[in-house]
Amino acid sequence: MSSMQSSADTLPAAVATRRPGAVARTVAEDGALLALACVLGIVESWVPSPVPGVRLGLANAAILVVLVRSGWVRAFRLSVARVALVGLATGTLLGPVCALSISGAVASVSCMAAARRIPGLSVVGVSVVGAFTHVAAQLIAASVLVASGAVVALATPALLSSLPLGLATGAIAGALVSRLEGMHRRV
Amino acid sequence: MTRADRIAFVVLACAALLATPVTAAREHRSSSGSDVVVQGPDGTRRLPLDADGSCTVRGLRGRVVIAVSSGSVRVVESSCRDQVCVHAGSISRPGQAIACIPNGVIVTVEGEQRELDAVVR
Repeated sequence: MSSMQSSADTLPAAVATRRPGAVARTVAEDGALLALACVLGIVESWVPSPVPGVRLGLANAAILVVLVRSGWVRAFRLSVARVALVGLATGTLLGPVCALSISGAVASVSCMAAARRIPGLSVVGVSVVGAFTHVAAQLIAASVLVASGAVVALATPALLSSLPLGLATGAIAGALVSRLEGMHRRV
Repeated sequence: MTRADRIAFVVLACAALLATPVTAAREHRSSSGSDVVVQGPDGTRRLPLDADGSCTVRGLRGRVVIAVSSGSVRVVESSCRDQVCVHAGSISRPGQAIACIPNGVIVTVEGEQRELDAVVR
């Protein structure tokens, strides 16, 4: 009995990476950022917008931080989880609005992961790429769903407004990344 | 903001500016003109919506005069009692319709591009 107990105790340490605290830290950080992304997404859905489809995209800042710090696999998972949770909270899960969010989220995370590999592109540039592809994917999904000329008329203003908003979220994400790095050095 | 950031920003801005004209041009080429479909007791007639003109249909109670002008269609004159069809005014978008029930005449606009009446979220 005592031998079983000891083997069960040593197992997690063997499974974990060399630094035992690293896994717990990553899980905690991802959890906090998922919560942040969800809250930002829900709060954002309350903010009225002058043009339909134009939103701040603050939730993308949290996803971008995960992408920079933990890689694209975690960012992808977190992004999908965020869409599901926000959909559940706002009551749009599995509806047409949710189809727009999921297509935007998947496209932006994939393109941000690709943009991250381009040398010289900073967090701000990656964020701009993410915001642009998010809007573009949503427009494509909307044109499939609606099949109307209104979506086409919306394309240029929506895509243009995504660029400064991408700059803003990129700046926020950059600040968050440097803050988190400073925090880790201190701990 | 690095140099690569600026390049990405400018490239995306150009793509955004081109998005509406390019897709609108493609849509315009593929869409065909709408038709006016007039269903009456004597059968169905089709009129092009982009050519002005008028036609007279024999209804159950008398004649119904339908006029197409500048891309919209309306019932000008009808032999019915209540004149609901005349007061309905002119229609132009695909899916819209005017009906004269006493005469058994229905005028609808048909086209490839369907528009939504309303969006609820």
